[in-house]
Amino acid sequence: MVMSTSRSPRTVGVVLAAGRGTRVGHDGNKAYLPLAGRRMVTWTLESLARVPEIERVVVVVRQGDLPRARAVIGRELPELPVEYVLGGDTRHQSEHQALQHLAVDIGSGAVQVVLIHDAARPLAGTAMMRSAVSVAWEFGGAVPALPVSDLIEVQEGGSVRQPPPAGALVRVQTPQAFRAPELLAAYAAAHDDGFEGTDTSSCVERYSDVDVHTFPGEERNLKVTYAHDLFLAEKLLAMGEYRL
Amino acid sequence: MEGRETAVLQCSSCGLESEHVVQYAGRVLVFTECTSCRFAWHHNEADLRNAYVHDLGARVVSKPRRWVRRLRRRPLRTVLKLPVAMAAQPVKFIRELIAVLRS
Repeated sequence: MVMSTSRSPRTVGVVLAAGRGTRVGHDGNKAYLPLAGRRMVTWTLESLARVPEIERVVVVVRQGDLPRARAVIGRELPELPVEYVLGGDTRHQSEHQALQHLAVDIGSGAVQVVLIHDAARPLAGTAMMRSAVSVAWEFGGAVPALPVSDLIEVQEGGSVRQPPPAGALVRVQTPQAFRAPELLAAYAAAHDDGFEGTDTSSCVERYSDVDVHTFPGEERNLKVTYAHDLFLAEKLLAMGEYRL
Repeated sequence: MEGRETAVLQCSSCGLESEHVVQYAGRVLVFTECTSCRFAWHHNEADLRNAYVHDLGARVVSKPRRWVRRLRRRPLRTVLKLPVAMAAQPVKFIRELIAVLRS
């Protein structure tokens, strides 16, 4: 892992690889599918490991995947120290578990920024992660966003309303990064309220005053969701000669 | 079957999030198939053969380096595994070739 400079925030990278906790078997988790010669989660972790600000890496896994995760990461990234945390039934719960794991260090100031990334986005690359950390450190929160140009609003009866102005709507990706104390507090408040956000920023926006800023996302940072996404991700990794 | 994995992915045909069979030849993705509706995505035939040949060449070239790396990391385990691993290579290669030719 690259060492951080003295002025950069002490950052932990959290990779969500638990999928949905309702799936209990060790099969079926796309994060461990091979992709261009390595497991999907390995590509994601390798990008994180190259970020100088990131001092620790946490991987959130489900119980049934733990032996597999240890074996895969131990074999493909033997030099990378990884902390494993068991995830919950939802993405939000998995994030909460990761933050609980870091709570003491966040409280002591040993962790200043937390970057959260999906294992199913193996093409994010180091530059995006560095942008996320730097924007989060400056403003409090950072989410990568891409403009949406093909949305329309349909009224009752099917007629189309004037589309919103360009730039008003964006779609967000991961990695998302936040100042650690505010993030932890937001998740604690959400937990007390029984709230579950769809992504990290939705919880932070609701339960904190953190100024969440966007930074440019990348089209190639696709989330492997559909079967055909695997072919595209493989092609993109090969085109980049597997360097992210 | 070697090179075969399963994973939950969304099917672009039936729309369900379901178990998919994912077949590889070496490091190259050959096809995916939805176990709910049997819809399959295949690598383009010519493209797949080119990709497989390219990948096979890269694996052959890098094999000694990978063995050295394993030897350094786990010497005893690697030496003990070596005969079986070498004996398995032809079978592994034939299986990969069948997967490519069948696609």
